[in-house]
Amino acid sequence: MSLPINPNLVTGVLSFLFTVFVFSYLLGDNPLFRIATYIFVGVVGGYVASVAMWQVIYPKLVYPLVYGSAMERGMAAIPLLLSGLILMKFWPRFSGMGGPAMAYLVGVSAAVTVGGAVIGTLFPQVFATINTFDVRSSTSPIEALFDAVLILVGVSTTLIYFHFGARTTPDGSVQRLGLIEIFAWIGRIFIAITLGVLFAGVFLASLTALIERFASFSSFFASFH
Amino acid sequence: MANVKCPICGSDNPEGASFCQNCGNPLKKADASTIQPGDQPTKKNTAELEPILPDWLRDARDKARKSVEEEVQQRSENTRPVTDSNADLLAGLQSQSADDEEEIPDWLAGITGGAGKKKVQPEEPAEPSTESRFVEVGRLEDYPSSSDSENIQAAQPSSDSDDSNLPSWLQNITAGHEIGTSNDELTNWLKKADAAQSESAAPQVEASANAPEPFVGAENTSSNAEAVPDWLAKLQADASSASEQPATESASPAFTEDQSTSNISEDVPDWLKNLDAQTATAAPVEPAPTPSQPSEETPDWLKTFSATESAAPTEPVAANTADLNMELPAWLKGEATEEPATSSASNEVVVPDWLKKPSEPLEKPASTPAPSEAPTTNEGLAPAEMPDWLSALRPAEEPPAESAPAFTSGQEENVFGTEPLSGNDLDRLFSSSGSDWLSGAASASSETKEVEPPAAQEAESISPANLPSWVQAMRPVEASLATTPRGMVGDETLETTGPLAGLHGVLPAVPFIGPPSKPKAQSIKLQPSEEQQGHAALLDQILGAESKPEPMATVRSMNSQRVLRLVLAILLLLVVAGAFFAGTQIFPMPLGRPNETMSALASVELVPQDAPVLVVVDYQPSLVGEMEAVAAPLLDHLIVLRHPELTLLSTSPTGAALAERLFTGPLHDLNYQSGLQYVNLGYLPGGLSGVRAFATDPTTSTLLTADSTVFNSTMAWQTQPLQGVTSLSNFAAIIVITDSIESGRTWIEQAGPLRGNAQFVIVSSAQAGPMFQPYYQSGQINGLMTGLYDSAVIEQNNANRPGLARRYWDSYNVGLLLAVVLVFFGSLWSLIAGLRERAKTTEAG
Repeated sequence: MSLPINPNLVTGVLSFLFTVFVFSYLLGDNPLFRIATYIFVGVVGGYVASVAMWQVIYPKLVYPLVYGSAMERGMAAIPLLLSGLILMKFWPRFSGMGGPAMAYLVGVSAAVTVGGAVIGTLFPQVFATINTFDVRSSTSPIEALFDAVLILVGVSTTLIYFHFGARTTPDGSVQRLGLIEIFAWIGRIFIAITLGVLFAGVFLASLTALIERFASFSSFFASFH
Repeated sequence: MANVKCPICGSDNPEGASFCQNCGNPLKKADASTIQPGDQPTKKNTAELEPILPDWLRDARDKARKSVEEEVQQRSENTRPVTDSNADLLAGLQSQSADDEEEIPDWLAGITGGAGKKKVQPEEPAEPSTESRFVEVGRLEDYPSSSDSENIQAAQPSSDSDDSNLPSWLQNITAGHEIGTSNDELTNWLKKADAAQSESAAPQVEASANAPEPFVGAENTSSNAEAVPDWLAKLQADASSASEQPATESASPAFTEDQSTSNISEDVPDWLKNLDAQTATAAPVEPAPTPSQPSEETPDWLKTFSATESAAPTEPVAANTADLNMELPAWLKGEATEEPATSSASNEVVVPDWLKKPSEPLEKPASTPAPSEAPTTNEGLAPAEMPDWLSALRPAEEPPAESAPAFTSGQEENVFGTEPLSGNDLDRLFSSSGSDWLSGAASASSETKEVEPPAAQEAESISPANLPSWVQAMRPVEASLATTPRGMVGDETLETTGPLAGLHGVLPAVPFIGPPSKPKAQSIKLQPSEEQQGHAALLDQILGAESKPEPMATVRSMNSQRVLRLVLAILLLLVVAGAFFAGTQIFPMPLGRPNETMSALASVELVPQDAPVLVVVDYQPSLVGEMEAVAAPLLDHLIVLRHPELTLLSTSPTGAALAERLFTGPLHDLNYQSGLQYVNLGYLPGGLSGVRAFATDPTTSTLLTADSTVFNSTMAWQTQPLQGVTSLSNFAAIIVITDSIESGRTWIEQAGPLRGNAQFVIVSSAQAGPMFQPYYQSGQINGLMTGLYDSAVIEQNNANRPGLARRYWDSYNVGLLLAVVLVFFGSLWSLIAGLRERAKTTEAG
């Protein structure tokens, strides 16, 4: 059984209309833009709820409890219990019962985050910064050394920029040490360059998305031919 | 121990208590310091008190001042010197009374002297009348104070000052005395009242051996028969004729009045005439001890009253009242039928409320034997017909003795006789005529005086009042106050402040307002302090500021920034769209080969054939256009080159759908099927923890595929792409497609250490690419693709597959070039604007 209306045509029209609605924000906040955003938020909300149901609760809780082995059921009972305790927070009288579950979640998340940041980012980045001075494996040692020095200066001055230790001068003003001020000023340059790069990346990403919209329009109009 | 009964509430109080324990009103009566009758007003300078006077009083004084000269002229014409005392309050009232004289009815005008004034005939004044006319306005020292009773009748020509305080109508009375030798119908009565008042209020006068004869007025009346008005003459004639008849054992007032009203003048109205006739026939005629001269000037009401009195014996006569009711006005009929038909009672029946109190003395003496020798002449004034001021005077005229009836000849003589009125009498008259309560008090005074011996009254000293003359003129007569009825006892309140200080009961309305036992009302009004008021004001200010809507800053609909933004947007749209739809390929593909990009390509090429590859799709739908364009060339290269078994996973709820879209969109030509060449595990919850759990044990963290339902559950790890995969290290490569730093870093931090020998490639958006450079530099990831530039690089190595980069490349470069130009010119404009601003600042500074 074929639909009387081509689904691609419907989706193409809707995508075109919503694209125009979103672009209308160039003229300021207007009802068209609000309609588009509200619809997007609603659709995303419904979709996320569906995902949570069919991709989280059912496969990870219901299915093991129903179809799983004893071991799987026992393991599924733990999240079921913790979920039930968290649901107690709906009632203020029993909200304290959700504390252990929340403590478990926060504790695990903090441990994973700190461990991952230290092991996965901090130490590797420190070692990488140090290793940049190892020009032996580089075909262009001078360039590698320059890069290493530049990275070191950039990292150091950027970290110094975020040093907010200061002293009170006799005239009452609060300012950092002169040397720190110099390094912080250099670090501010690196930060500005970094932010500029990120802004350029944002612009490039948005420009690519805009072009993709034009491509979508082109495909939509091309479908009528 | 005798209790003292409160005159206000009637409650008993212990003896010696000054104030009532129930209502708080004073229990003591007026002491000797109060003003007594006959007290001469003391002239004081009251100019400083004028501002506090009430308006009506000031107006009266103003009028009095204005009319002083006129009054002086009038007095001079009447050969009566006018003193400065006319400027007093009473002078104003005098002028007012003179003005109001025209409004006085005929019968009242006749009483008050108006009629007498009309009858003034310059040729008639006689010597005796000249003597008596000044007695009415005589000074205090002229009044019979202590010497003898003859001084009472003594003429006092020097009483002009007091005379000036008299109202005009009262002065007319004195004028009538001058002219008519006290033959005015009111004059005798007033004089009688004066005599009685002086008798009761000034006991010293009576104490003397030469006390004034209360009935001397009768002698004067007879002696001055020629000056007596006609109606009075008639009354006297009737009285004389009635005296021939046998007198009753006790000469009741009714009996005496009957005599005085035997002759009916022509002025008597018909209904009174009829009434008189009926009563005359029905009641036995009693001899009148005092001759009365008939007078044609007798007012109607007086004639009627006389007739009624003559017909009313001491016994009740019901028929008379029945007939009387037929002739009486409606207001008189109502009560006439209810009361016994005694003459006095019948008279009282028709008395309205305002005259009931004055009529009381008429009743009580009726039960007591009246002295037969007491002649009555014109005592036939019915209380019902009597004005207030006159009724107020009557009780004071009664003799204090028990044998003294209400209607004695002395009273009559005092009213109509030639006995002069003293200044005290004038004051009393004035005060009585203006208020009913004083008239009521007068009746009470008569009762009191019946019990109280005259000697006791003599003991009452006349204390000097430190009051202005005009206030003293207005003061209540002590005799009246002392004998006020029960309801009026509370008027003894002593005024302590203001111009009325020292007076008792001058404001009698206050104790009568509420019930005597009513507790004092406590103020319920909030009386906050200044601090509380300040706090309240502050709170009110705060609330007012909260409730006051703040005007919103009006934003101009079109400002320069908005116009500039709109212009730039339109320019960018036009340029990019034009370049895209033009389909040009002006800009060549990139020639540069970034290391990280080439490393990513190499990492993909290192994937074994048909090896499992984990593809993490972690980007938002908004950047799907960029991410698909970036990831498609690498995946296409991987699939085309190695045909891997793909496992799709996402830490974003929308990632699963976007992963499906990736294979149904840009990679649609590869014809990869779900469940066969790739498996979508769907959403991986838990964020960092979920990634960590998946990296640790992927088989337990994800059980079903994303397309599993209740009726069609597919075990993910039993699908073809995941065959033989039990851990993260079993994947040949891990490709993370993300648009955010956090997502890529999470996978790097959590899964990187556990990936084993798997290739780790990050495909990121252009906005997140720079942040992954350190990870590539540190070797934590094997390759990195960032943005459309790297996608174009990969496509060149992939035979321009799938071709998105190439399709977007011209528009991308045009837009990038336009952005560079705009940024440049914008920076230049900002530089120029800054320099101009600095120059202006320099010039201004």
